[in-house]
Amino acid sequence: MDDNFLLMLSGQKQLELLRKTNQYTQRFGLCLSEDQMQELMVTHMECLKEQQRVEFGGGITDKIIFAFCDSDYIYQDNYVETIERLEQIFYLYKNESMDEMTDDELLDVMRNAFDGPCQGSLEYLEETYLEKFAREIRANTRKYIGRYRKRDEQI
Amino acid sequence: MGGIEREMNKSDVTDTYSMGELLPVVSVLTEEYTAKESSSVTYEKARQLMEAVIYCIAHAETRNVLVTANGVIPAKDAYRIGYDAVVEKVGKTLEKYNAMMEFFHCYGNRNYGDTVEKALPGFFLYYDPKFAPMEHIITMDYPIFTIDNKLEGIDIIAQYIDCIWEEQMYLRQYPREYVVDMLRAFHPRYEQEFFNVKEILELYGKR
Repeated sequence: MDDNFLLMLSGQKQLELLRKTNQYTQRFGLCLSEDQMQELMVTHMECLKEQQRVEFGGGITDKIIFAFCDSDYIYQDNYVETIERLEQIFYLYKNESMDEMTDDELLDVMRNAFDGPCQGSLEYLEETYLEKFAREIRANTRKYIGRYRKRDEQI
Repeated sequence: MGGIEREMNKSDVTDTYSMGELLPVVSVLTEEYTAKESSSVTYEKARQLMEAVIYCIAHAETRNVLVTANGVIPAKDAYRIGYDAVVEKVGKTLEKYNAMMEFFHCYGNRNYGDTVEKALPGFFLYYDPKFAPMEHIITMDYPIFTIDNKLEGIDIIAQYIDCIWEEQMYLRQYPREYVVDMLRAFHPRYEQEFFNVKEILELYGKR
């Protein structure tokens, strides 16, 4: 089967959604220029291709922005670079956790870890914290699949 | 099963509908698959869902409804008709299987018994006509050499059950003890062997 359809499915409404994020993130001192939005879109497509994933609908970049924009560790100077890295980490761990987690669940885990034990370190988030987390997922734990999650559960 | 069905061909589907027409159908199916809880799926999953759409549309072709006076019907309608046809075929195949189990006999051959009595129910339990209609799931260990191995999903299982039905009709002509004697004469441990019972009777029976 011709796999060109995999590329056709991805990234169709990204730019419009990214423009809308500025209206919210401005209150945290964060703003994306048009060039930066284009850069994020390119990174987005590269991430999808690298992780061999297909996206439909609106995509994840705006969700990542909304999830992280109020973090103390993100400011205008590192905004774009951090969002790009978070996107790479997100897709990597969607695969590493075998799609056992929903987007919101994974973003929730990433945000709590980023501000908590990782103290803003993307390297620690990717190479230590989430690596351990994904290993637990793969060992068939069902603790993090939405409705099975227990209240106040420690990772 | 009855009725004459136009031979289904996946390439007919991709000749009739462009990728641009199929993508929205795949997109909707993907959203159903992820329950809108994930914005992306792996390449592998996307291919599977595209195959699922093509498989169902190919079944719509068997009802000769794709082409109307106004031209070819939209892909989403073809998919819906094809999906209904797949589900209907599963129902009819299950009915035939249940009817067959009223008189099925494996004559002591374990592979025959396990395949028909255990594996086939597993197919009906786990078959997914929506997200993986092209998967036939079970290995069909009992050999039937007239099966068209190019068929997939419910199509190959339906043909398999049709063949086993015909085989059972043939074997019922003979007393069970005769069939067992012929099998044992062919191989003293026929119970554990992997061969086709009807073939043995046809080749070695009535000598």
